[in-house]
Amino acid sequence: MNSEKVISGFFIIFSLTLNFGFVYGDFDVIAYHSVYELFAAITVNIIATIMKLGDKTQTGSVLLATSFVADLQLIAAALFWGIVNMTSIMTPELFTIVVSLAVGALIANIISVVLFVGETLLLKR
Amino acid sequence: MQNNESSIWLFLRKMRAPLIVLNLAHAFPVLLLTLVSGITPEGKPYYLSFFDAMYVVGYTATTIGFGEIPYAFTYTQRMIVLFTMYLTVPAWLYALGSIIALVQDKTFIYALKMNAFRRKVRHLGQDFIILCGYTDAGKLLIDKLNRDNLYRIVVIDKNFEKIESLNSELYLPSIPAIVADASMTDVLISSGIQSPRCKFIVTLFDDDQLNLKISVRGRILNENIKIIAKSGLKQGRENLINIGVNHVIDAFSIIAKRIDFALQSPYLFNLLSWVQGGNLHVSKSDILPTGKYIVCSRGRFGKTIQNTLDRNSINYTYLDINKDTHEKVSSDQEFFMQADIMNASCIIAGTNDDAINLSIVATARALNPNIFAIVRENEIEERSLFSNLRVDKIFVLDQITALDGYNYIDRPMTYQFIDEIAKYSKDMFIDTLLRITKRVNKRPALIEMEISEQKMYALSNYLKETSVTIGQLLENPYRDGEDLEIVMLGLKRADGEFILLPDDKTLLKESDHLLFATTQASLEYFKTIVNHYYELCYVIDGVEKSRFSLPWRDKNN
Repeated sequence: MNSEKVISGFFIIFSLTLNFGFVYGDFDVIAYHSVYELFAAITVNIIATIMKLGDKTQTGSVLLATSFVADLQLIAAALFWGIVNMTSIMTPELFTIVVSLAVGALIANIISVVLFVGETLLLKR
Repeated sequence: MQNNESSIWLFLRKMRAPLIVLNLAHAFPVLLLTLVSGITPEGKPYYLSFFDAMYVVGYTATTIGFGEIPYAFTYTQRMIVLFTMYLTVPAWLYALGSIIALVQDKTFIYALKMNAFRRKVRHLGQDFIILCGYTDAGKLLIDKLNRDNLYRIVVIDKNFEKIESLNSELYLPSIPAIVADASMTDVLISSGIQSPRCKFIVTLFDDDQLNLKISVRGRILNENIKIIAKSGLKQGRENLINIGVNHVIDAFSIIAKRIDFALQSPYLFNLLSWVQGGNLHVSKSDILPTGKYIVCSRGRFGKTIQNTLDRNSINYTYLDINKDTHEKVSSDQEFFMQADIMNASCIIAGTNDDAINLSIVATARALNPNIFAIVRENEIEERSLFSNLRVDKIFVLDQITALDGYNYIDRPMTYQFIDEIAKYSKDMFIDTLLRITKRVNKRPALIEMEISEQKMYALSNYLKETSVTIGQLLENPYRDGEDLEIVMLGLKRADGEFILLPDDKTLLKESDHLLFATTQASLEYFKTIVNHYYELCYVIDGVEKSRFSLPWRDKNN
């Protein structure tokens, strides 16, 4: 067992689950999507990104790229949400944009987990 | 290469811990602040938004501390902020400190420098030479090569100060340089040795073993590259040639050859030393005396000189001088008296210590003022001392080394020229000398050029249709009675045939190499003529070619 693998695997999968938890539910119902879950998803995503730094393999680079994509999408969602709250009132139409941005991040996270699991399965040790 | 890259990866890995600490130390207080309710001045409860919370934590962590925003905090909130201070400030300092320490890490900085160097080499965009060792000889070689600008130069040296001094020279075109061990394979690869644009690798270290190491690696890494290595030992020279070094720079043999030529004929000597960087004027000091010689030297230089003198059946006394004997001997005077200096006509001071050489010449001059003094100079800085002594002949090792390397790189035909002309008699040497000095001057530049699309665009295209003789180009080109101040010394055909001193009726062919003596002004004229089509037509036919031909006229023709 490789403790580094355990930790990075934990964060990679955790970021996917949190992301999914935030996205799950009707797009235009604000009550279905918790702001704290989005916050947690961003935090864990950033940790997952940091854990992927310094991996020189080919899959390592692609993993890092997917993480960057997820970070970008989630932070964009949070920024959009914050700005709308500060300047006007959140409507279901505007809220759809927040959730769809997070769905994009979800796709990136899924790719990330698939790559991570695939790489682990290929290991003969 | 592997080393550098892994140090960058290691850097990123080491960044993980501080970055994660920083992330968590911010995320946790932000979360707490948003969960705890505050009270507005009107007494209504409110919650900090994520933006407000991040704002507060951000300025607390960086020890800026704007205060309690947007309203005065409740005690619960203050507890959390207190906790935030003690958590985030140390975390921030720790992360910042370790990141700064990592950035200042020597191996990391070296890796960054190596990457920048690699990028510079990749973007040279021109044929280039790798020079290992920024020695005095290397410096001279760079000056020479940069003036011709046929090749760009890349320098590797282990010594940090030397590379610094190279960078402070501000060479143009610029010279990428790196502090590294040139005998390491990955350093050579980073310097672009495997690039098809890399034409030569020159290694000029004083250490023969090091030169050998670099040459072996160079030959393995690139089969087509030409390797030039310096060698001070006989066995070293053979070893170098065996592993596929194309040219060995051996300053001792060059000096021996010059003395050999000087004993044969001062004119031949003069031609050789001109080719190797001197001027073309035969002076009194070019005529070596034929009387008794005293050779003060040791090791291989002494042996080489002895062989040369033996071959020319010169009578000589050999004094094996090194530092110890020099200090032990009661006085130099006695030493020289024993060697019968009063009846000697020439003294060769050839030790590897300039101070001893100076003292030899000074003592010898004091005893016998008319003696002809030949000196080996090891350090370029000592030049003024030697010229104050009015030494008849100075051989500067570094200069000879640099010029030999330069000749091999930029004008390889000079070797053939000297070999060919040395086969002839004295009259031929005098004739050639006079021809050059009369038509050009006593310090002509020696240029080698190829008739190719790049160097002589118009001429190489013209030669595809018609033939041109040398005389057509050089004699009275602008119909004003003035010839170009150019003397052709050699012509080399594409098939390797070498023509010594081609006459005016010699036909030029495409991809011929020309070796000629010229002045700077005439060289510019020559370049203009061979590169501009209308200029060339005028020079050959004597009439201006019409620049616009009308289509119907073409049809009639």
